[in-house]
Amino acid sequence: MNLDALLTLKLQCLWALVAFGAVSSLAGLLTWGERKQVSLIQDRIGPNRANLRFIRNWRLFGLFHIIADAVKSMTKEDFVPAGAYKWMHLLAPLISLGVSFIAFAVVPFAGPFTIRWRDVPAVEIPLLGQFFPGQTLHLSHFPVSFQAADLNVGILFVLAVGAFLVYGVLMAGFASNNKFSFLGAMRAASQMFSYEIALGLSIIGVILIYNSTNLSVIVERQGALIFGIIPKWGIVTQPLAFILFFTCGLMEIKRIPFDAPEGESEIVAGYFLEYSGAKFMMFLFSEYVELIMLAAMCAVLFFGGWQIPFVSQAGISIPLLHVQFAWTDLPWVAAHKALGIELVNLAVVLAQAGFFAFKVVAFCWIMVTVRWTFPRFRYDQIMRLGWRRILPLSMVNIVLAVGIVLVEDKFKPVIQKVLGY
Amino acid sequence: MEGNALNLIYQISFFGIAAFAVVAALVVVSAKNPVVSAIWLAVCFIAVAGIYALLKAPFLAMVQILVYAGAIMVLFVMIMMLMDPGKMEAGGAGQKVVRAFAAAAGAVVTVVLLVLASTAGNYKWTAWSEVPVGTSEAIGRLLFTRYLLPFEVLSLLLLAAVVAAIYLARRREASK
Repeated sequence: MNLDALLTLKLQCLWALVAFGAVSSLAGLLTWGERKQVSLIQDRIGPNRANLRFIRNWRLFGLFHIIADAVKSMTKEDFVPAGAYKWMHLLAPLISLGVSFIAFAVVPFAGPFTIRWRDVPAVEIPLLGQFFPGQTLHLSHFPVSFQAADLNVGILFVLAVGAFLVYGVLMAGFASNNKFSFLGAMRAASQMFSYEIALGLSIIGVILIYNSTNLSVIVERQGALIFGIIPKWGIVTQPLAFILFFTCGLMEIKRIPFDAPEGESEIVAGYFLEYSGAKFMMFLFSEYVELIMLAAMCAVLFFGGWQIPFVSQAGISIPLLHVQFAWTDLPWVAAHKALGIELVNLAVVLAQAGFFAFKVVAFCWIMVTVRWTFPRFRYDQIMRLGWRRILPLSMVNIVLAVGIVLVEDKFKPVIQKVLGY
Repeated sequence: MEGNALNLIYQISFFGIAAFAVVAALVVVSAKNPVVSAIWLAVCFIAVAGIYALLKAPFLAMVQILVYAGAIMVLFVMIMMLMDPGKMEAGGAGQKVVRAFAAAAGAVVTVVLLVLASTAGNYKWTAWSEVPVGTSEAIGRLLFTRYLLPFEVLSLLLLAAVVAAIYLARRREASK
């Protein structure tokens, strides 16, 4: 291990923390945002009572409910049923929450960024430098990726983690020793059989077209342009796959219309019926983290991840319209040389991260709207949908994807010539 | 010195994960409740996937988790459907015979492993970092060239199993 590798490792750890913080804050906001949005849909005001007494009853749109809810659930009695499997009852919410966070390790939050400064010899680095005598830290060309782990099998990692989401549900339902909870767990298991294969098959088309299972590579290749003007996002090349993936994803995170494991009107609260206080809060919170995970995966696989159409680290370019603008053409950047380019690159990376966040929040909004718009499917309907509709369609989609790849290989130069770019 | 430190980390991780897998496997066979067994089986498979990851075979690790996460879920549902959850912990009459068979099978596996371990010196070992066998590219290439025939035979076998399962389920439905 040398100084460069050490810095990369440190940045990855730091990024893991930042991603964790960002996701948990968004999840916390969503607990409030969802209630606020449903009240908009149902023509109510929604949560607005929590306030700061000492600042003139400051309400801040009810945002203090996030804190109030957390405090309330922490101080409530933690009830464990007498006939429960104690350790499994405790472990289930921990697994649910832990597993739902893990998938964010492979999500690329912004484009790669290169530090262009100067090489720093080990002597100039305080404390740590003395362990690496005679080495230098190559900051003159140091790539930084905004991704905790750049796994080659990123997609498979997300799928594998997703497959374990149902285990928390299962353990909760089984350990509670309650018939309703148990029914919820069985429903979750049967639901998993109906979506899991279709979920895996639906993204094979994406893997084929972008020719990689690495999420950062997939996002990078979505920056290409079809006919020189349409961004090559997954939604353009694989619209059917997006619909199938989104549906299966909704099944995986157990949201309405696929919330059979919870089914308030049928089995009370399903798998987390016997949970109260902090453990209940953990289930609730993990549901929102899963929601953000699905939103992030939709954005990464089908909506270009951090890609902003036509904008890159180099400049703005739309080949078909012969628009070509390099950042270095800006008079201010040209005047400041290296520093100017560095700052522009940083601004682009920030814009990309912001754009990614926007896409994720937009998907969260869509899912919340879906939740308060559609009724629940019966669980035999869910099974039929998974096996008889989504599975065959996802197989058709794979054939379509192969066709697209073949056509693209053959005709790309011809089309480029015809359109003249 | 740095290579040694890295090696040490790998060694410690390997023995930690391996010990965890063995403990989990022991719980699987010793737990009284079959559902507890199923969950520890999942833990055991995750540990094995960890060993694959240490061997620089990320694809195998992920497939291991993906396949077995679903498989154990099937196992769980089977347990629920075939057994009465209330009476799960009581030992049946056939328990002794089952135990004897299990012990015999365990003994055979142990003997085979010991024999293999004693002949380990006969094999040519390569450092794990030199042969990229566990990446998706390497496995895909091998499956479509060197092992094409076994791969196709396997998929045919699976297809036959699927058709047979559907046939059996249908026949029972028809006889109702």
